[in-house]
Amino acid sequence: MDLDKGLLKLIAKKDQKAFESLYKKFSSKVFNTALSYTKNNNNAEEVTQDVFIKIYDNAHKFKGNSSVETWIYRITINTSINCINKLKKHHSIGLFENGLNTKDFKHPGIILEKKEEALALFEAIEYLPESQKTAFILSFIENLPRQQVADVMEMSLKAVESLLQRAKKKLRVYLEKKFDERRK
Amino acid sequence: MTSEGNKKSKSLNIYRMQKDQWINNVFNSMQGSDRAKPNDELFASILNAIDEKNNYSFYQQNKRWIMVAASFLIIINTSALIFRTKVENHSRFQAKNDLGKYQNVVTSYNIYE
Repeated sequence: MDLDKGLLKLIAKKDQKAFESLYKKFSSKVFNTALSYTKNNNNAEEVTQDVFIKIYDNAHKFKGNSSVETWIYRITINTSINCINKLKKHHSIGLFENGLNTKDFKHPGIILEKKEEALALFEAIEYLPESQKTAFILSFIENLPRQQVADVMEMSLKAVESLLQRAKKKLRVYLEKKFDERRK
Repeated sequence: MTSEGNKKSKSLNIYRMQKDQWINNVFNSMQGSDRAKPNDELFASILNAIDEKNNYSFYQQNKRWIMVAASFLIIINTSALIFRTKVENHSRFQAKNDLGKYQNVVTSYNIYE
């Protein structure tokens, strides 16, 4: 049995030290993924909090069919999507306008010379459909191997590759327009 | 092809090259980036949220028993209060009656009238 699965078994028995070890190992992965979705520090922290509460509450339900990392990524993506949908709902009735203002989002981990390009990338990702967005974030921002992306999304490897191809095509179209706008 | 045509196609090629270069740079902009990390206090606030949730769910699970216990206490207290009031009223009434009897007894011994 690997270390992560052992930790999860202890967490199922409400062992706080095991929970802290798992948090230390995965919190930046969860936060980074949530940040790519929400493009807002506070919302990403809220998602991270929800994800770890879900892990704590549902550790006993983990069946071990996938790796713990895959399971955590799956929870993170579902929680992030729920958070965005909730924000959109509030936005449509005029609440929390700032929560969806992602135009000027600057990812804190990006090196200075690439800031402008990364800004354009995150802006473009926003226009992708949900599944293409997930495949792109996991593959090119989280740098997960394609097979793991397929496991997280519960899809075949072929389906993920096709999603990525379509996502890249769409992003290229958007970025071409953006390039022309920049030159004007 | 005229020299102007050549110039145009050359500048078009340069434009396309620049565009492709920029798009590739955008696609590769996340390479070499660090993972963003959450606030140091987030773990403590997660533990707090779990505690609060557990307390709330303890209340939810035992809500019925808590309400039964509260109602029982209210009934006991109310009964005690009623009983106490009755006893007090009774002793006040008794005292009044006794006073009446005492006055009667006293008046019957008034020898200076």
